[in-house]
Amino acid sequence: MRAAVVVGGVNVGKSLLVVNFAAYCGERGLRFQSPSGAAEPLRPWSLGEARRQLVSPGPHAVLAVQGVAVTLTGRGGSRSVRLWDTPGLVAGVARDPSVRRAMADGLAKLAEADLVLHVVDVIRPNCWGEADQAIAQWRATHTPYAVVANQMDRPGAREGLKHLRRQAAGLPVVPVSALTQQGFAGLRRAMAASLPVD
Amino acid sequence: MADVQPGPSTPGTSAEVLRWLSDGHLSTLEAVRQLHRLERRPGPAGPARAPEAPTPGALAQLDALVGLREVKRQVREICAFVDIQQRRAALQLAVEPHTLHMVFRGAPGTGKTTVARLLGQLFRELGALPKGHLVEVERADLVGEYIGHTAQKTREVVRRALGGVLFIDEAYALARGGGKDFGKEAIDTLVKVMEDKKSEFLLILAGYPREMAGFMDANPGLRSRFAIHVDFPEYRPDELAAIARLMLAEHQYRLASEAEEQLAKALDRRASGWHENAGNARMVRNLIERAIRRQAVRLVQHPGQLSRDDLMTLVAADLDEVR
Repeated sequence: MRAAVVVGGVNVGKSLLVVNFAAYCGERGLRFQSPSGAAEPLRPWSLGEARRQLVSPGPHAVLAVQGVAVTLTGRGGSRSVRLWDTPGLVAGVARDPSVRRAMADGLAKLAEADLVLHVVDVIRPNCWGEADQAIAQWRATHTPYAVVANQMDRPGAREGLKHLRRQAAGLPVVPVSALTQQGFAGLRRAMAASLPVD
Repeated sequence: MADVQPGPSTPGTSAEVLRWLSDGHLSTLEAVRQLHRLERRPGPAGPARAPEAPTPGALAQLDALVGLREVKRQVREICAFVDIQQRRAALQLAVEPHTLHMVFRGAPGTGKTTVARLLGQLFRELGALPKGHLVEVERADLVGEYIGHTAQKTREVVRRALGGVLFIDEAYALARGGGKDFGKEAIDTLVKVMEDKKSEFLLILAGYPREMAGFMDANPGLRSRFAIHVDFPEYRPDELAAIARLMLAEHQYRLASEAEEQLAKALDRRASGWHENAGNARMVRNLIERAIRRQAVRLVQHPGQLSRDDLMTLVAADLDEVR
């Protein structure tokens, strides 16, 4: 199955995007899988449970790379893809070894992505940082890449989006709200365009 | 952004980048830049490296091993295959999807670990494995104590082996302990990672021939994934003698002529089959090490000046059997 890897800084809304986008695609029970496939939970999570487990206002609720399979139905047929949630990237050297290891796991997954969804929080000042630029330079040349501009439901988002478009020049930007699911149709279209039909 | 020149202070492979990041030697930002650099300019270990004949290094070391004729032939065959597949891939020709994971069958001390280590080096020289290092483990390194622990431990071991060789000694110990044992979980995890990380590491399962055969038969999932079986025969007495001479030379000792005879006799006697270490190099090592200790005891009791020759020579008495 193709791998769509969701990357981005800490607390930009990656996990909420993964859970709500899976729900938007019609998934009801989320069965998360680790990269090696051996340590999946014994039963699927309900959407509420997945949000409680994975989404938090504090940093690094997610320290493990984990993926959930979704099916994108659309024109021309359906496309199966596994959405991989990764730990939020901090640019520097993390003090906690488990966080550093999580960074390495996230980058390892990113290296093998078939499709990259780079999530950015548009209401943060200077939302496109040095690390964001480095990641895009690394992965966007050979791999289908979309910058997902999150938090579009919040005040000030339009200005942030404008700033982001200038900064991430040349990359496709998809505005969404992971919370309200606004813009998910556009995200699904953008993903479907770079994935083969099953 | 300044381009970082590859050097000893920069990681040479992406696996190395990730390890440095994990260990706190690289910031995440720098790790991303290094990964990008390695992709743009594949280093000596990169996948796009021009194929070349294996350098004399590892192959010469293999040839220097005593005996093991059939093993050497098989290793050369495997290396030739890998080499040609790489060259074909470089020219966009169809590549045989061949699994290179191996089973090494032989008693302890017959050269399995040594050959595994050399294979890793050979594969690195061929560009088939980025690092070619050897991670040697046994049951206790893989099997955990509670549900889920085993998969975690096993994956951690595999992670350490990525880019190199994972050598599992006495692999059948994983099947020991029956149906409720976590060893089964380790086997399942291994089968899974062999699929997921197919060409990222070389898995070698090793052990006594008979036990290995039973183990593979009981695990069809494993059996189907190992096409290459390498048999390590017991050494003959003359081969054991050659091994002994190499070991002695390595340690800067030599045998007095009557000691040569003594050694040949000892090896003959031992290799006749009743000894538990019959026909293996470990027995020779033990024999030599004991002789070296005995020589030391003999020499400290020696009243006069000790010449260089005295210090280097093992005499028949040093090799006497303890009865």
